[in-house]
Amino acid sequence: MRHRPGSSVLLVTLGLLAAVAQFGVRAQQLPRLAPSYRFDAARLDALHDAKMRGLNYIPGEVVVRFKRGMGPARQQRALDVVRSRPRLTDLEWFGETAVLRDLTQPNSLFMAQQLASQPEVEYAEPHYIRRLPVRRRPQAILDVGDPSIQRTPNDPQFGSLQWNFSLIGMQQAWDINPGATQDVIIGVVDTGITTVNQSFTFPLYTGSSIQNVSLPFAVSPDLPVSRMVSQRDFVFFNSGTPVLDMEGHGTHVASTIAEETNNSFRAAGIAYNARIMPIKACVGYWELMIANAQAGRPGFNVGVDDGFCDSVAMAAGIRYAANNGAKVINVSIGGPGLVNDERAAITEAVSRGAFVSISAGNDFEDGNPTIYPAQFAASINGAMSVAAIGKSQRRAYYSSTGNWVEIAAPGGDYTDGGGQDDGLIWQASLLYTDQDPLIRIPRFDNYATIGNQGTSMAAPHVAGLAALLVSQGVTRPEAIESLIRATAKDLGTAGKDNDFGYGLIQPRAALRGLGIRK
Amino acid sequence: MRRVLIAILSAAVLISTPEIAAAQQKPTQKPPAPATRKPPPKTPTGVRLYGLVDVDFMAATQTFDATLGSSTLIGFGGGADITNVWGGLFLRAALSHVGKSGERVAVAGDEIFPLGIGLKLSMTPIEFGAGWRAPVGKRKRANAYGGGGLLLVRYSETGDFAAADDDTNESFPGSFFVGGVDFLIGKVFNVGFEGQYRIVKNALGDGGVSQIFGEDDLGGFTIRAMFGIRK
Repeated sequence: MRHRPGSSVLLVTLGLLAAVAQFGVRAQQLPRLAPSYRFDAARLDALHDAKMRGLNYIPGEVVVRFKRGMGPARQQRALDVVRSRPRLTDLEWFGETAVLRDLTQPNSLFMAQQLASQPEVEYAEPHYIRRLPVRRRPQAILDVGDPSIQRTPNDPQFGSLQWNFSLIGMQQAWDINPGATQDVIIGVVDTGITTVNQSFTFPLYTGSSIQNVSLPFAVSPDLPVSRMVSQRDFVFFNSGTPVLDMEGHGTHVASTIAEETNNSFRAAGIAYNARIMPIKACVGYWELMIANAQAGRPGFNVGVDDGFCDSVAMAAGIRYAANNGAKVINVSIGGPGLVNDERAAITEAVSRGAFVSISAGNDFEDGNPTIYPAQFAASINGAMSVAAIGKSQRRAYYSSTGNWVEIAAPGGDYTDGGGQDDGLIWQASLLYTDQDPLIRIPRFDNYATIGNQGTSMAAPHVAGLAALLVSQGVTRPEAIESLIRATAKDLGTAGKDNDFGYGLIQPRAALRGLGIRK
Repeated sequence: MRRVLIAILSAAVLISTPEIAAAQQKPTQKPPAPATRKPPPKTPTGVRLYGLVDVDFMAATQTFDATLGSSTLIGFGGGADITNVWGGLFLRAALSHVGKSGERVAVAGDEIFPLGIGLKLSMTPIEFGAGWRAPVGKRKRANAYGGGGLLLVRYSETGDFAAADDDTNESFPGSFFVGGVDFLIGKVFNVGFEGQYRIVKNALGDGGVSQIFGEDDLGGFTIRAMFGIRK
């Protein structure tokens, strides 16, 4: 029997019972929700092993997709090639993709090759994980800035901090299209965006023992629930809801795309009337701490369990977004390792009418490897890989380069800001000091304007622009890509190049479209 | 007496006509009489003044279809032909004006996405040309003509939300070839129809939709109706 999300109620209940039995405490608040399946002890061991060995996949696991028309008998025949002779019911299903775990065969590459050679199998590959994009020199600020600097919009930090929007002429773009419309839905596949104002009780190692701890969560005032739609958690809560961000990355990305604007509060976002579909495909340090505690594993694991994005969850999230009305999908995630399932998911999303913006990678100084899924974007018309530039329109020092880079947008560069982190991208997100891995008990209900840098920050600029274009009537992903390319400001070597692709996005020009001669 | 009179008159005629007399004196070779033609009556230089209506079928069909919804444009104007400058030679100066509104668009492959952002086109071709006219028919109230010349197209394109250098206001040179016929109605009234083939290369194609479609010619084929006077 396939395990599908619809059957999750039973698993949630079982997970809850296991948690209660294990820790022997009475759940204090909302005990019906519990993190579970993906973080059992065996998988946590495997993730830990992957981290220590520098692997970008989970040892002992492969992702397999059978060819269409293969019945259970044929699928089982293909599985029989694996040493442990797994049964179909042992697979974890995500739509038509399944994860096979064989603890007797830690060599995932070998197992994937074995399965891939079977005639019933479309593809099989290691269960890749993406590291959370590096966030360098983050800094929180609590002041509200100087409102007198502002012209439009009226958010007090727009003029003082958001150089990135001025650099791409957002004020003029908003004259043409003021923040898109609410019928435009943008899927954000990331660490999540918190969608509830409440506390949850989770097991957590607190320094001396594992205890059940109440952790407060709150919705960002600049991303109200009224602008959220069809939230979905693919990695933490088996129930799929609610979505919680315990890292801040997803909230920052979503704020660039659609932070409340003209509300005289904090900063602005690009498509501030559009709606956001929070899709959680990544976990951070604290989710792993909770999972470790739930598995009865004490200890702090700073620098080890620093979070990851599950490639299967990413693919499932991309498909989910496209199938549930998202016209734009942002994927600020990447890493080495080609995952066919991600390529298939992006291709399917584009064919369903969703434009996909993907970060090009932050690995220029780390050997500049080919980054996936960004690399796929170059061959998918309707998906774009986005490089990062700094304040002076130079390539950000970390921004990966390669022939897959298609477009550039502000991603921040602390070396290119004139000091004091002026060169970062500033948006509302979780107050970093509240959930720093070095503290004992985190909280996730405080927000501030946070400075980050990365191609993770660049991609949402393109996603936001795409949302404006959709509301302008350019609804086909291929057309959106074409228009963004055609109107880009060429940077670097003349024409398309490996640093900037076709150049820096020009929202006003893209929204204004083309006349006869200009 | 009568015979004498006839002889005197004959002699007088012969004397007064030396060639005849000489011929009579040398009757051996008589050259053929040279053919003589009446010189044509000299036609005075005239002028033809007219108002005109143009139907322009633009060469850049995809560009104009995409932005204006049609590549067939209507123009109005006027002109003057100076006729019979030298024989059937005539000289022309004329201008017409085309104005049409449309929308700026996004283009992806064969698909056009109107963006709801207004676009206004204004085009004024100015013609300087020459040609040859010849009367047609027995009553000579119709003239057929053909010719060509130079064009100067004043081109203006404006759009909503335009920044300083977004709009276009330029002139482009070109050429045209023309053929037509006109009819005299009454003593001075004149009706004419002609076709023009216009070439205005490199006026388009540097940007905008025309670049995407690879269309660089602002010319095309024009059908023109003219109403005026001929003197």
